[in-house]
Formats: sequence, C-alpha cells, structure tokens
Amino acid sequence: MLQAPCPQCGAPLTFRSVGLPIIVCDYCRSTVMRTGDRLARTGSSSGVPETVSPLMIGTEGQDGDAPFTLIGRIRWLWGATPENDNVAQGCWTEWLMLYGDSSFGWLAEAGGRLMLSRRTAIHRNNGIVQTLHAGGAVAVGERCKIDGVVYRVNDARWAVSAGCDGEIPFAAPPGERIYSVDLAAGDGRFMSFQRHDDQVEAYAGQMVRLQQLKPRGLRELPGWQAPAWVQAQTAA
Amino acid sequence: MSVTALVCPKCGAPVRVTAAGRSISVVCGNCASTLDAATPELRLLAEGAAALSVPEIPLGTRGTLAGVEWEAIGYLERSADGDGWREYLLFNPWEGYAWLVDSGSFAFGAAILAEPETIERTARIGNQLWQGKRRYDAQVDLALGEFYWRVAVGETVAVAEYMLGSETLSMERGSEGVSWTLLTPQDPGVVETAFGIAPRMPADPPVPGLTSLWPQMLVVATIAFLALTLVDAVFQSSDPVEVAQLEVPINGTVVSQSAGPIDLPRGRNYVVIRAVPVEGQLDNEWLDLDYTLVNRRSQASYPVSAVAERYRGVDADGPWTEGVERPQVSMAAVPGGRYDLIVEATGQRWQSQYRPDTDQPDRKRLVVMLETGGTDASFYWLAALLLFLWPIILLIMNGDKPEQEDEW
Repeated sequence: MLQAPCPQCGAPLTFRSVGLPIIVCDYCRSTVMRTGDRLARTGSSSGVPETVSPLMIGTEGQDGDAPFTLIGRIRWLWGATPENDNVAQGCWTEWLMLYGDSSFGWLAEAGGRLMLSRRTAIHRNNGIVQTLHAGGAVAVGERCKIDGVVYRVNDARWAVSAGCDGEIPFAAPPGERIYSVDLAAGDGRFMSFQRHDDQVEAYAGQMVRLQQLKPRGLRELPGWQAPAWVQAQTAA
Repeated sequence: MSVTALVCPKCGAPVRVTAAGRSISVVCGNCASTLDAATPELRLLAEGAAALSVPEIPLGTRGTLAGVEWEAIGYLERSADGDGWREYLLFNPWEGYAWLVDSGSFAFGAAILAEPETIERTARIGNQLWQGKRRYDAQVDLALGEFYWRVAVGETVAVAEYMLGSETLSMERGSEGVSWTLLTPQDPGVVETAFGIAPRMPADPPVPGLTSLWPQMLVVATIAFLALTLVDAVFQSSDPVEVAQLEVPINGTVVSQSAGPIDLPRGRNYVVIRAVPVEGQLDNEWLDLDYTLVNRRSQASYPVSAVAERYRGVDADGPWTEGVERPQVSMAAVPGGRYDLIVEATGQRWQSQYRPDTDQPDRKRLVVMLETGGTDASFYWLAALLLFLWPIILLIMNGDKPEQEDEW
C-alpha cells in the first residue's frame, strides 16, 4: 500500500492497487493521475452522492476462494438524453474489486441486484461485439452464444458517469458516456460489454447475492438492523 | 435515521427518500409531482395530475417477511384491461428490492438471479419448467413514493406469466430492459400482521376449477331436496278443522267468539289459521281479525291478526280488484296443551262515491279454519332455495369465466 499527498490539497492519498492510474481525492475531489511515481491533478470529480448501501470502499469479501477488497466506485446514470432534458431513467454503481493477486473485477449494484464480473477476452466474431465496434445499438432480447453458453441481452443503454470515488482504472469525469450491454444466461451467468470512446471491453461473471460474498467491513446503516448473517460475519 | 429529509420543489411538502443514491424518482405524497431523485435538488419532472390515493400500507412502514425487514418505499396502482391491482416496492439495504403485490390477497415478488430461458410457452430455470399462463400489457395508473427507475403514470410494459405449482414467474419487458420476478402467494394474515394492517377477509374468489363442479353440487342439492321433501311429508300437518263461525256486521262493531277446546299435541306446534268468508265475496269491504290462542291451564296467550279484504273499481286502465279475501296467518312454536281460540272481528266498507251498488248484505259470514303441525311452506321453499343457491352461483360464475385465457 502506497501513500502520497494529493498534489492539489496535500491530503494523504492511499493507493491499495499497484497499477491503477486514477484516484479521486476524498477531500478536494481532485482526480489524480499516477504515472510511475508522479502524481498530477487531471481534473475534478464529483463524489458519488450518499447511497444507502452496505458496500463501501474497504469492504472485503470472497469471490469463491479469491479474496477481494472494494477500492473504488463509479456511479452511472442511464437514459439521460438531450431529448428528455437529461433526466436519468435509472442508475447503477460499479464497485472496483481488487483481488489478492492484484487483478481487478467489478461488482455492479443495479436495482438491488449484484453482478460480479471480470474482464475477459473479446470474441471478435461475436455479433454483438461487431455491432458495438461499428457504433451500433444492440436490441434487448437478442441472443448470442459465447463459449457454449446461451446469453440473452437484458439491458442495452447509454450511461453517463455521475461521480466516482477511490481508485479507478480510467478517468470518469461527470458526463463521461459509455454504451453498456448486459447479457444473462439461464444459470445465473452474466456478461457485459462496454463501449467507451472506440474501445469495447468484455466482462464475464455471474449474478450473486451479497451474503455469498461473505462480506466483512460493511457499512453500518443508521436506522436499519443488520441481518443476522451480517452480525455473525462481523463477530467472526 | 438514514432517511434523507428533502422538500418537494413544487408544493414544499417534505419528501421522504429512504434508498438515497439508489432511488431515481420520487413521487411527492402531497401533490403527486414526480421528482428527479438522481439529483440532490430533487428537480421537478412532472407535475402531479392523478388524484392522490392513500396506500393501505403507509409508505415508510417496515415489516418482516421470511426474516428480512422490508420497508415499503413505493406504491403503484396498475391495471390491465380494466382489472386493477396494487404493488408496493420494498427495500432492504442488504437484500435490495422486492415487491408486494396486492390483488385482494398478497404475493411476495423477489428478483431472481438467473435469466430464465423461454421456449415457446415455457420458461426454464435449470431443470424447472414453468408453463406459460398469460400475457398482457400492464400500465401504471398511479405512483407514490420512490423508485429505482423513472416512474411514469401511463407507462406500459408487456408482461408474461409462467406457472409452476402455486408460484408465478413474471417477466416484464419495458423499453430498455427485461426483469423477472418470482411471485409467491402469502398465507392469509402474514403480510397484514407484518405490516400492521387490518386482516383481509378470506373472501378469495373460489379456487379455479371449483366453479366447474356445479353439476356435482346440483346432484348433492337435489338429493338433499328430496330428503327435505320426505321429512316434510312425514311431519305432515293435520287436516284443517273448522273451529268457529261468525257473522260480522259491516259497521265497525266488534263481534267475538271463543272456540275450543283445541288440543295442540306436540311440544312445539305450528298453527295455521285461515279465515274464509262464505255466502258472497267481499265487495270493497274488509274484515279486521284478531285471533288469540289462550292456554287453558297457564292462561298464556298467543295473539295474531289478519285482514280479509277485497276492493274493486274502474280506472283509466279498466276494471281492477285487489286484496286477499281468505287470509292465512301462522304461529310457530306454540307450546303444547289445551287452548281456546278467541276470534274478534270488525267489518268495514270502503266509503267511496264510485261504489256501484248497495244491495250487499250488511253482514258477512265467516268460517275460521285451524290446522296444526307440518312445516311452514315458506320455510320449505326457503330451504330448497338455499340448497340450490350454491350450485346456481357456481353455474353462473362458470358461465362468466372467459374462455380459457389463450392470449399467448
């Protein structure tokens, strides 16, 4: 773990990851880029507004046998277009997971569901990937077969960043746009394609319940009684 | 409390946001305006138009179902083809969201982790096969409270329902996404107790299929009716006996006569008294009749009265007559014993300038008949009606049921 002062305000920045280029200062909301040992302010970021979620930066858990820590998050709003006066139709939060082997994953929190995914290889001959590369839109309900598993598109939407916190792999200033396609399979497997500028990235994983991640260090929520399994986890 | 205190920019009423950072829209409980919860300032999105309705479970109420404490944060009134139901959006920070669907009885709707594979009219999750039940378009008629999407009155989604046992898988497809919910019926009283509302009457519509049992029900009712007829014949009444004769002057003076002894043999007796005018009909005349059965030993008395009457005339529609000339009255459950029947009668004539003739005798002779035992014929027919009521209701409901819902 590396500590260094924020180039803007001098507050301590704590890097849990080795390779992530971006960190958002908790104090002055500066977006700080790390290049080698150098830190430079590249812009400012609005923080993620108060969210009633038990997850927070620093929460630890288990993805199967692999321990992870949440180190950053980006909040995305979707459906906000100039045509509808930039009113968001929905939102989700992506938590960046740092695994013990220094690899990364995303834990998406959307409409009360959790989807865990890790970056995967792009299948160039996949129809959806080709559509995305061509800049086109994907239809909800469309099916595709990836590595022998039949998936169906259950979400396809433009989203804009609405703030980030902690360490993240790319600068996501407010208003940054991505096109996100979610696919789900009958057995709970999950895939996501994201187009950011000209880049298309693929993520594969599964839908999960919070309890099965055996989370520790969850946020306490005033006015709410943590479920028994959380209390047992905390005591353990 | 982790409830963000905010104010409606339209009407100034406090707006409650429980799932801050997760809710996208909030509908003000005071003015029904839709507010943008994705922005800290609660931008006004749509002014309230719909008349406000008060959810039976007040928003903000918490209830524990299956060990999870849920807060009712949103309320929708939805309908499909004119049939309406209510839905509560439930929130728990650790569990996410769930639904409470109120369509007379309650069902709990949980998000499922898998995306079922749909083939023809079935949905498959693992090795569970769900059978397609129906498809319809559901629209939002009213929304209150907070939602994790941008709620809009009038918004329509396509719904497909699949059944397995008592559970329903519901797929809703909106403009940009598909969501699946597993609906589990809740036992009567469970939700009411959990959320502190009045228990629902278990007046659920009959289980589908029960209405088709009406032929069997009809057979049962017919057998019971035959048994009832047999019992009625066994306890048949005595023949009517003439117990008194009176001459009643048509001038208002009271005549009375005592008849007896009359023996009532049973512990409880059903007594019918009938008055029969003889020698000519009543003609715009009426007889007030007061009967009293007096027990010779205890002097207990059982009064009942009747009117024998007959009127006639001519009006624009032609000649008319009305009135009951031979009134019959009954007394139920008169204790057994020896009785006298006291009959008091007065006669009156309707004084009308249209009276056609006046050569009627000024006295009416009257015979009083009495019979005991048996059952009241009206009870008999009431019992028969009740016996056949249930199969008839089922028959009607069976007829009302639309042809097998085949809107796939």
